[in-house]
Amino acid sequence: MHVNKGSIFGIIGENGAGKTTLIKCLTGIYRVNEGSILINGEDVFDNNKLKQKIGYVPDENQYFSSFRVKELLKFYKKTYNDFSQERFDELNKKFKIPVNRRVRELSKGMKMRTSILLNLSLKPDILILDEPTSGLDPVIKKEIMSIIVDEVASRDVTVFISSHHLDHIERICDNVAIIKNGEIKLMSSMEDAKNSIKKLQVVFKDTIDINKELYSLDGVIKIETIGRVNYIITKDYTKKLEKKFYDMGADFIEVVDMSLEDMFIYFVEEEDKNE
Amino acid sequence: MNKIVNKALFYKEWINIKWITLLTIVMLSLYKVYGVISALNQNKISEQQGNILIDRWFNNGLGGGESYYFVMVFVVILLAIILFVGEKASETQAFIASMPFTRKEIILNKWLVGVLSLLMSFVVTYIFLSIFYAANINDLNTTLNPYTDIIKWFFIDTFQYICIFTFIILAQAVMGNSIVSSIVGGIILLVPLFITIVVQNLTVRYFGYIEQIYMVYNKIYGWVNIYSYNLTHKEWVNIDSNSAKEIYMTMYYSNYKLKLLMLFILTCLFLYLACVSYKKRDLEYNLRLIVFKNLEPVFIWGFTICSGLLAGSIFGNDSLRVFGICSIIFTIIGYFISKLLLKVLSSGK
Repeated sequence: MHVNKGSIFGIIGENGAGKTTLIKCLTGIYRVNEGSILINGEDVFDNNKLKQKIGYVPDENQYFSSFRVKELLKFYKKTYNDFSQERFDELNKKFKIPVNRRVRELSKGMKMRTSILLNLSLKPDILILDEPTSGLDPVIKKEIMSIIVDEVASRDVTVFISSHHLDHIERICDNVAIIKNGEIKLMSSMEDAKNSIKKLQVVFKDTIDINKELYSLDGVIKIETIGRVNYIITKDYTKKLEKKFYDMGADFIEVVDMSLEDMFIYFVEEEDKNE
Repeated sequence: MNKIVNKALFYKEWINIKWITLLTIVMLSLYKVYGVISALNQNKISEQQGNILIDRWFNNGLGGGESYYFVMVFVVILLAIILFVGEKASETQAFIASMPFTRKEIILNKWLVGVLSLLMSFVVTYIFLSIFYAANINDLNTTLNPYTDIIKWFFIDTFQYICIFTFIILAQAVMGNSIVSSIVGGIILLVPLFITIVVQNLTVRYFGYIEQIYMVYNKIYGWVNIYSYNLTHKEWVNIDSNSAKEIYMTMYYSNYKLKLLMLFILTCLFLYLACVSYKKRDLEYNLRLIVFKNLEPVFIWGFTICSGLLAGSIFGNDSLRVFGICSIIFTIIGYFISKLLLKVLSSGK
């Protein structure tokens, strides 16, 4: 698995698929048993120099509940050499975090905003976000996504994001990977995924059952038949495939783009079936 | 030193434990400073009533206070719990591990802040005692109450509680649950003494009372029980057999320098082991009772054997046979309890 500098990489998967574990390996929290995680050719585990440049927003509150936000701010300032108070103040105009409040007095959404705010203020080269929008209202969700995109555009930040909000992933990510049972099952650029995973609505001349024949074609994930219309999901859409359908007696073919959410659902169903 | 002290970690830990430092200062002041003040007041009351004065009131006031030793161990256990409790029970340890700190820095800074907290408390108490000593120098017989008593107390107690604290840090490094590990750490230090007592009892029962062997055991007690290192020995001295007024009690430390050296060596050893363990610790097993799978048999068999010996000592006082039967039964029970503890006290998260 490789993530390009200055890109946004999205990881999606069901609950318990291994997204958070992968992220904890990427941030050097967990020691990997096999393989290695390299950033600029260096192992991330116990590597202070690399970690100075990594911002990490976890999926649940991680801060010391007894600390005030201003104490956390001080802790971050002492930890990260490039932490910017100006950036913090500037972003906090939008985030509106009361710095005198203790962490335990903040709502779930506010805790998440605090985490994002602090991690953006350390001016990271790599920003790792685990479910960053959970517990946030739609306005701030949109605001955060736009800040992340701005960071990539202005500072060439590499973003690794895991989320169940697939519409966000679809909107901002350059590359996406699907993880299941701890394994990366699919990895592709967003554009390639959109171009190759398609839904085809096909009507055949004869009403005979050709499902078996269709499933034998490479890349066909799922077939649903309603009346005369066959809804065929493929992960390898090409013009050649369309031609094959015509050769098999297709009368009418319509190619429909799929959302990332649809792609994910079909993909998971297919994997479940194979298991 | 700059490489070891991480200002961010130091700041974080200090915020957590500053109240414990205050508590330690209060406790030390209560037992030691108030101890000598009480001794002086007692003398003044005795003087008014025409009773015998205690010449060594400062020495006696400083060395007294039986419950002091228990309270201080409790404070040290509390200190270790506070340093770890917020992190092990939540995602906070993962947060710290994701930041630019090495594992060695994390554990060393916890230890350093804990040591600083203890050191500060002892230094503050030392200053209070010195001021009090200087203020009452006219009422003091400085030969019988030398200033070195304060210095001796300061060094032995500081070394003693830093050593116990370091051992509890080691227990924290190999165990998951922060409260249980601190308590278990405190108990483990008593195990060598407990085993020595059981073996001594068995020897006496089997071979009968042999004074020389008994004396050897008594010497061993003093060395295997770290908790006894800073205990003051009381000695009644009568320098003039014709006058009861010349009877006095003096408090002193036995094998003082050797014990200081021993405490220093043990502290270094425990700290080294704590660093090695914490570096090897996998955070995903943070909530297990014993973080390292290969140390689980040590816990199981340690618990099992101690349960058997404890039950044997309690119920088998009369004969070796009863001792043997009770030990075997409770060894088996202890085995299952230890397994149960491993299960119950390890969170499945």
